[in-house]
Amino acid sequence: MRKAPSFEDSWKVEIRRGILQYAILVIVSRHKDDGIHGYGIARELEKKTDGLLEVKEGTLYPILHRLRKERLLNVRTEKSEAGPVRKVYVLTGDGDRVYRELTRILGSIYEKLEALR
Amino acid sequence: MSMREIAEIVEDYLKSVGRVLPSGFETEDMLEELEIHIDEAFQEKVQKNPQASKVDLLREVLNDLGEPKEIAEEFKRTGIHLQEQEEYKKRIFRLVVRFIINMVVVVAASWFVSNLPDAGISFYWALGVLLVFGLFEWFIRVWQMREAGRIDVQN
Repeated sequence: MRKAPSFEDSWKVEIRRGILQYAILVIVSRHKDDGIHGYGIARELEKKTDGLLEVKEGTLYPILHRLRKERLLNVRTEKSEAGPVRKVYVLTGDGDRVYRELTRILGSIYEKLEALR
Repeated sequence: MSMREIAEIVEDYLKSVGRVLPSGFETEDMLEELEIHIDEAFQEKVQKNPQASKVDLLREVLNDLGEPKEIAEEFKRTGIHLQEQEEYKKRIFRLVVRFIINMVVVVAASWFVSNLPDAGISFYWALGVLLVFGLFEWFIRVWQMREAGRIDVQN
């Protein structure tokens, strides 16, 4: 029988899910001029967070599509080194606004949590 | 291991992802992106470990991507398929309404033209001509919508 996930495991999954969308916006915002492709986002997530977010790379794409649908990201096509045309993500004006707002909210949450401890 | 066998493993993986996702433009788009991702990740791994077995490296890439089920769960969670279904229903509704309005306008216009004094145009002749114009207009509209869709994807 499969063991139910522990409280902290479920909590981690929930937190990670919310943070991941923000983390993608952060990465894309750092590539304002040239944009970044899906594989690049996956690499940066892994390197910069030391695997803390434990993301299965394939699950990034539904999130990227969601952010596109929300008009926070735009996409343009570019020829990759390997040959096929790949999609490069850039932040939209709205995306930039949301990214700044989320940064402010997260900073404030962190600050209040620190005060609670 | 030949490149053909490598391509077959990738194809099988993409097919299993495609099977657990709802069919639609978003899914096709995402499968394309996954294919490019696999290609780039695989090339990078081969470059870093030229001695390693290619099939093992490919398995690593697919493992990093996750099970098709996991991708489908995330897809469901984001609600993309629901938005897509909703948009599809709206589009069909708009098409049906537009078709009905067009038919009413064409029939009314044909009746009006055929009843003009000294016009000498029969109702069916007017109906035929207007239907041809209507069809022509519809083709142009579909073409414009496709062009708009293409621009949206690129931007």
